[in-house]
Amino acid sequence: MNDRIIIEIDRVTRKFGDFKALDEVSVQIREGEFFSLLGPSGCGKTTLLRQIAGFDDPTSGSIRLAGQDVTGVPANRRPTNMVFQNYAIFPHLTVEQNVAYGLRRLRLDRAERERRVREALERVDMGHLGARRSNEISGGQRQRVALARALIMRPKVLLLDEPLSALDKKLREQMQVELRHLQRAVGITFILVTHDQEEALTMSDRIAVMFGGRIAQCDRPEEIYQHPRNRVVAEFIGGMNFLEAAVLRESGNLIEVDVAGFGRAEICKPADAHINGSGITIGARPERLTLLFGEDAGLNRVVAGTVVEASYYGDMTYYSIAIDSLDRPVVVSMRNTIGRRSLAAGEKVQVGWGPESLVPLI
Amino acid sequence: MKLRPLGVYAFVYLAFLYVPVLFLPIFSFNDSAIVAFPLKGITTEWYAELWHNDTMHGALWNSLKVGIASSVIATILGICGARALTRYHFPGRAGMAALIMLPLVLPEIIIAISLLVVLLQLGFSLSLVSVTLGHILMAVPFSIAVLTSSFEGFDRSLEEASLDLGEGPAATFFRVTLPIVAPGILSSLLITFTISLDEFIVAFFLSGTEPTLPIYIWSQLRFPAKLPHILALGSVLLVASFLLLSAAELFRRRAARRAGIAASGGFL
Repeated sequence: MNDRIIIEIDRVTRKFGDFKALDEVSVQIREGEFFSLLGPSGCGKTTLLRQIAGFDDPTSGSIRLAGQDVTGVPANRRPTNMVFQNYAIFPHLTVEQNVAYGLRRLRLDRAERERRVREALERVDMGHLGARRSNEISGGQRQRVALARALIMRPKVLLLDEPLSALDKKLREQMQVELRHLQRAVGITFILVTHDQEEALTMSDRIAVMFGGRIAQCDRPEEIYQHPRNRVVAEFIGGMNFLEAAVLRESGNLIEVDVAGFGRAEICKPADAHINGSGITIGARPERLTLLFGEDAGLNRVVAGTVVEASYYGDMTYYSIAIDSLDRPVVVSMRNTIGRRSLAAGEKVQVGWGPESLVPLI
Repeated sequence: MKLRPLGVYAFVYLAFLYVPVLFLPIFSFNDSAIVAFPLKGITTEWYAELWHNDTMHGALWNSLKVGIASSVIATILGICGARALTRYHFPGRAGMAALIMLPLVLPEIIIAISLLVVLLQLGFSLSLVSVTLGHILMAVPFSIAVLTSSFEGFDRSLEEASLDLGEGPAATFFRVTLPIVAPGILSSLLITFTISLDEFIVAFFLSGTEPTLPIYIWSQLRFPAKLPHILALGSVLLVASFLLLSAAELFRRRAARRAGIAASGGFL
């Protein structure tokens, strides 16, 4: 990955009647990057992908691809290739014929064509299945064929439209790793559309979180997770406790807040975020809070609470803790490491927190 | 083996359907002009006679012309209709589909008489053209039913995938769309041709002075001496229809499989 921009989307709007599927979307995608468009269904992520592929044109705005304005250029003349959600494997062709489909226009000689097809199939571990009919292969194999068929074109950008959503959980996790490896190996820019936050977090270099036709936040996975800019992003990704806080003091990037039920803390805020009024919402991830069992009372900030409910997840347990002055319980997750006992409903606990637990959502 | 009531029923049912039909080929080889048991001996004389019957050849030629014209036109109309019904959603779609399929259940004689009245009022003279028009009307619902099953599962992203891989719209049509729906189109052509070939009532009312094959057969029934050679002709027609429809069903299933849906429905 380098810092060269390969795709530049500039204030792209796409209207369907009165409905704005995309609303002035601007984003730059770097060469060799694994970029994800993440959001709930109907947020415009697939529409944006189809704009990049050339299946649909913006109502206004422009798209530049590798330095050239491709707005209005049809899909067959763009250096992008797509892996479709249902893979769109040609049912009347064999696996090999599917993979070789796009090569016809390149007018390669037979040996070169066969070499490329073999190489593409081996790259996705399908070398032995080339002669199969396309209705004789499994869902995971169909996905590999779709990948090989797109990658054989050596696109500048590979577009993936929810490619893993049709697979079962185990296969999906395996393919996440494989896709990531594949992307590193070929060095091509991948743009992945997904509604699965975990998928986006584990695979991407950067994520654009989309809501209502706009990009709500575009950043590295760690930043998106730890510093969501607003409540919708925070709600969509991971679990989050929402707490009300009064702003006591503001100085540069620091604000002093008084969090309801917890207490005072000085926390960082993004430089370009402006606080209106005296109250803000504070987010606290369940794993950024802790329960004190006496042995690790190092944290100096503690509030008392009572366990309302314990949800056991195997490696983790999520506790709902009622805190006296709050009307809603706070969720705290604890890793079930060796030597740590489980808490039952009704037990009194101490909730430990600190400024680093808190994220201002402005 | 125990005799199961449902098995007996199925056997009787099938016998009732097909035994009378089987008498046709049996008597067509009988060496006698009288259709009655016992059979007098085996002969192929009646079939040989078919070779030298110019009136019959004229009727056959008429039937082929009508069959080809009506199957091609009905299939083209069917392609347009099936594509519209499967791909687009528009107001009145369900009602339109029902109206298109209606000739399947309307009494043929009603269709034939009303067509006759309308055509005469419009100043058409009766000819093979009017028969063709009638047969198109009869065949379009079958064509749509067959084509819908191959278009229904047609995934639009296949065409997009072809565009995405660098092919233009024309190449996409020939490399993806056509191969996938071709078996369905072929199936529709065969079925509608067979329908036209076998159709009697509409042809009877609209054919004027040029008989089609079924009209010819009917006209020959007046002469008892001609009966054996009508039986021979009927047997040939039976086998031809059976083969055509089998081929049509084979293609329809292939089309459905290509479009990615399990074969279901159909006429055979």
